[in-house]
Amino acid sequence: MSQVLVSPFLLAKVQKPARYIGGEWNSVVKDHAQMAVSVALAFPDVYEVAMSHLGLKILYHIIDAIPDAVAERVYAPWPDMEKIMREHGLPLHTLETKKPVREYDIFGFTLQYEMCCTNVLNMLDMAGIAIWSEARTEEDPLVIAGGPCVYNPEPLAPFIDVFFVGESEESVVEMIDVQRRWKEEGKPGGRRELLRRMVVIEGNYVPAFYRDEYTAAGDFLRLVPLDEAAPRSIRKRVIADVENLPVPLRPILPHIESVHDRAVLELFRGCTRGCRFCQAGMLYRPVREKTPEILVDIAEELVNNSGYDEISLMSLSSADYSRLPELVDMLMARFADRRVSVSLPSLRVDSFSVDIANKVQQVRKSGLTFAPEAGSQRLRDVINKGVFEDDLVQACSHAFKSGWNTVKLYFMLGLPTETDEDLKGIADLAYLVSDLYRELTGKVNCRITVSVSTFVPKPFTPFQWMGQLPLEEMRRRQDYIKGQIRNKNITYNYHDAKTSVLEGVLARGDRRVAKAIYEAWKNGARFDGWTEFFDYERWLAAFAAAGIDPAYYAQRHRDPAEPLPWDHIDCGVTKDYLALEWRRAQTGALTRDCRREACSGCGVCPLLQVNVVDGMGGTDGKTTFVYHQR
Amino acid sequence: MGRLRLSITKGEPLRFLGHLDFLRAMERALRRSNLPLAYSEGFNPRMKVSYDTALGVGVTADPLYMDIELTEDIAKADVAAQLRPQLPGGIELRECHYVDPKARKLMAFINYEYYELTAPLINSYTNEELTAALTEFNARKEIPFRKVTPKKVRDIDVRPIVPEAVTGRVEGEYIYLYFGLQLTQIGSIKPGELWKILVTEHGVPGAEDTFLCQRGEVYFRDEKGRLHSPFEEAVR
Repeated sequence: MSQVLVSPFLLAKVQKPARYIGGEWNSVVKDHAQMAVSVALAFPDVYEVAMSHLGLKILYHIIDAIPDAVAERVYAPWPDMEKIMREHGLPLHTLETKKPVREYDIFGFTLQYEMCCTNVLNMLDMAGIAIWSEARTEEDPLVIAGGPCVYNPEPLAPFIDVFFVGESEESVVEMIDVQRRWKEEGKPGGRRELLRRMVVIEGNYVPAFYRDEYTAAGDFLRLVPLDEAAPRSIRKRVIADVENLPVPLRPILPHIESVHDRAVLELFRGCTRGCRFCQAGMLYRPVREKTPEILVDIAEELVNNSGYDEISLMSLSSADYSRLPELVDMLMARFADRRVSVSLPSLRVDSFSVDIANKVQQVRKSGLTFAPEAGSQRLRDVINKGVFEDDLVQACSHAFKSGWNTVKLYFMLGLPTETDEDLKGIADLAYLVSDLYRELTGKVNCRITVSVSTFVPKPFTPFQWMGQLPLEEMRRRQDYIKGQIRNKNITYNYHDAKTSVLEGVLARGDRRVAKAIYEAWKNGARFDGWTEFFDYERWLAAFAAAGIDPAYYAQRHRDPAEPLPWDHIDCGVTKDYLALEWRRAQTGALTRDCRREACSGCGVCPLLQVNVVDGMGGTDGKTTFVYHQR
Repeated sequence: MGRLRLSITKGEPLRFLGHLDFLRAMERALRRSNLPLAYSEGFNPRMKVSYDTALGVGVTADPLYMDIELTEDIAKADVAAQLRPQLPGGIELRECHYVDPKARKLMAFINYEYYELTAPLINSYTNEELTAALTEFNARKEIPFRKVTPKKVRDIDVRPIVPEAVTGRVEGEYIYLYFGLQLTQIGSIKPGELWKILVTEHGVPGAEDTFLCQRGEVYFRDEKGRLHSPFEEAVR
């Protein structure tokens, strides 16, 4: 087995060389000579960001638990390190044993956000693997990908051999079995046969087995299966019983300060609040909670094995965990004499949560965070964000009386049916909170941060047919809000809208967008999610070179009847349901959380044969149905 | 109960950890060891731990001294037995001894540090040539140097900072230098600054910015030049 050794004299020249050294506490080193299957797990961003991702930790744990399989980590080298590696002919390699990625059986990416696409290509290239799938040989690893972006896999389809759709705790073990057997049999039928065996695993999409077709007018028409092994539709994998899921109890401790560098406890999966802009809410249904009992045991193991002094309660909307007060109390009791604090990433907008916040440290550090998302009740109803002004007032009152003076408010602009009136509402809410503080405390030192991001419609949401705002209009609205806020206690944050334009194309593009990604990468695009590296002009040039009109993908209003490039993926929520929600959005009709109220017919439970699992009965005794549009 | 002084190492695997990163790794190891550590009072309690210096990114050390405060009586052999299994690769525990709780803080005590500096040669160089260059340097009565920091620029004399002869050897394509740096009234210099002087003023064929350091033994060096180990203040 070869090793890529980077001289310490070279490492001394790059920023944060500890990103590349490996050997962290709890990292697992196995003898590759004894292994039947090897997997390089890749997060296509820099170490500090990658190390916080729970999904890869889970897969790492699962794969290493298999006696004859090994998983090692590899992340995107920062541009200064990339330069040195290329200059010295040092290929991309994993952290644990410095083995070149190209020598692995499987090279797996997690695709958490669209903007990392050029890093994917760059990592393939740095590994010495052909970027285009069709050019790969038996000597190349199988290149796979998972994560939320695979629900519209098409823009990256020509570069990835197999997409794993959904929760892959089980399918990754099946993948190892397939790989092992194929190797043992002497790799019969070559790469093609391996792909055929991989596609049999439920939830797997092999792009090479489909041809993309377009109408004469140039619109996406369909994907045609080319191999009899290829299914017409790929349904996501979902784990029905999360209580007994394998949990990584030995977290790898990052060498350098990373995001979320604490013991992470996954409380539950899924969220059925039904906010219409939110892709995660649709993709990860149904809600499945773990019990407080098992969570506390997991927490204790995590702390014992790591030395972390903070436990973070993570999920899509942690404050919605049905037995949260109980869980917090149990955790506080278990760790009473051990100086371990508990943190919650965000709170629901109600005073009940503020009581919890009193017990929980995160909030003490950085102030309260709420996400009203829209400035007016009308628009909040359109997006189905069940937050009422009164809730915000109550929650903030409670908080201010308890001593907090810092509040962060998250909003979006560019939502459907939005008018300037709604944008003014954002400012009004901020002023409301600021005035409230002064009324209650008599002081004027509150710090309110208003953070407004630009909405990008995503696949598998009710807003997936909506045309995104053009750049100039995004900017106009950003400036409009700025003009409405003139108070030294209120800070207004917003990001360069150009990144949202790119995100819009990548999120809802078809396979033709791949060529633009390739062009952009070839011309130096990397770390596009980072403002210091994102180059809009380069992307415009890449679109032009690939013959792509970005507005066609991002800004065009789509007809609900038109075929979508992601129609072949099945996330359990039916297209009819999404279309129904899109229509309901227009009038601001509210859809309730099916955990507590009636089923709204999204389809996930009956179609995928799963149930909501939560501490308040879930879907016990509830009738679920699949909404069909006549 | 008491103040325990440890000598540990920051080894090659952790060369590129900065001081804060190293602190965090050590703190977590200490937490995992379940030793009865003392914490500070107040809103944000911190573990009561102190080090002899803040080692930068790119420097290894053997030894690195640290003091920890314990709230219970525990034999130092037991401390070692609990702590050693929790130390990550790159950190070793060499020794530990209880010291007088009133003993000076490590950072205030230590004023003399030995270093080994390694650098690739950019031209051919023999041991004879090196010896000549070092003899020249060691014989100098004054060594003026412009010390530039973000805050100010000062002209200092490096001679008192390097009271002992610098030695070294050439082996293959690398040069190895050994020297001690004193913290004086006028301050001190960094190992890289000594390297810079040798490269720019004494013809050592190296690149100013390409070298690696290991910090060796450290002491309190008194006016007579005697070396006092941090463990001299050990009580039991």
